[in-house]
Amino acid sequence: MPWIQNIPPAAAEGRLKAIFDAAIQRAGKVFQILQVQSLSPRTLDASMRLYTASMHAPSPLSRAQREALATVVSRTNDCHY
Amino acid sequence: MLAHAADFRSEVVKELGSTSGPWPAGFDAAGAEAALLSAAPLSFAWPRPMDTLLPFAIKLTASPGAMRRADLAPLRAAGLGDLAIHDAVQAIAYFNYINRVADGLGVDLEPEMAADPRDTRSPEPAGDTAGG
Repeated sequence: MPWIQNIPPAAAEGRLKAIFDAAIQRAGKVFQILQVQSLSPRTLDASMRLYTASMHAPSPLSRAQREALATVVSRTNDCHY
Repeated sequence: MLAHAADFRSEVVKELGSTSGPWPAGFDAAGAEAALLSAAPLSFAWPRPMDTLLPFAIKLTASPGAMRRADLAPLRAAGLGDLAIHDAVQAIAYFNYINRVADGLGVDLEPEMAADPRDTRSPEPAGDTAGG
C-alpha cells in the first residue's frame, strides 16, 4: 500500500479519469507510478508529458539507449520499481 | 529500475531487428540488461556511445555537484552532438525526479515485479493506512 492516498482508476473523475483512460488505451492498465500521483492531476499530467517528451519523442538517442539510461539511473538511486 | 529494464529489453530487440539501430551485430542484449540491473553496470563491454553515456549518467546521478565541462568530452568523442547530450541529460534528470516521486510516496510494485530484496516498507505499521 502506498504511503499517501491514491485514487484508483475506478474512482477517478474529471481530468484524472481522462488521464487514466488514456493510459489504459496506451498501456492496457494504469501503472502504479501514475496512481501514486493521482491526488494532483495537474502535476500527473505535466509529469507524463515530460516523460513522453524525454523518453518517447524523436531523438538522436534511440529508445533502447534512453531506457538503458533510465535503468542505470534507477539502479544508482536504489529505486527498485 | 525493473520497469525500465523490461522496456530496455523489448526496445533493444526491436532495434537489433532494424538496419538503422545503434547496436552492433551480435549485441548481447540479455547480458546488457543483466549488467544494468547489477551492482557493476559498467563491467559489461558496452558499445559506443553507451560506454560513455552510462558512466556520465551514474556521475550526474550520484554526484551532480561534481559535474564539470570536461565530463562532456567523452560524449563528444563518442560522436554525440549537442542535442544528443541534451536529450541524455533530460532522460537522466527525468528518472532522478520520478525515482524520488516513487520512493518518497512509497509506490506499490506492479504485480509482475519481483519483491524488493531490501524492502523495509512492510509490514505496514498500525495506523499508517495513508488515508487510503
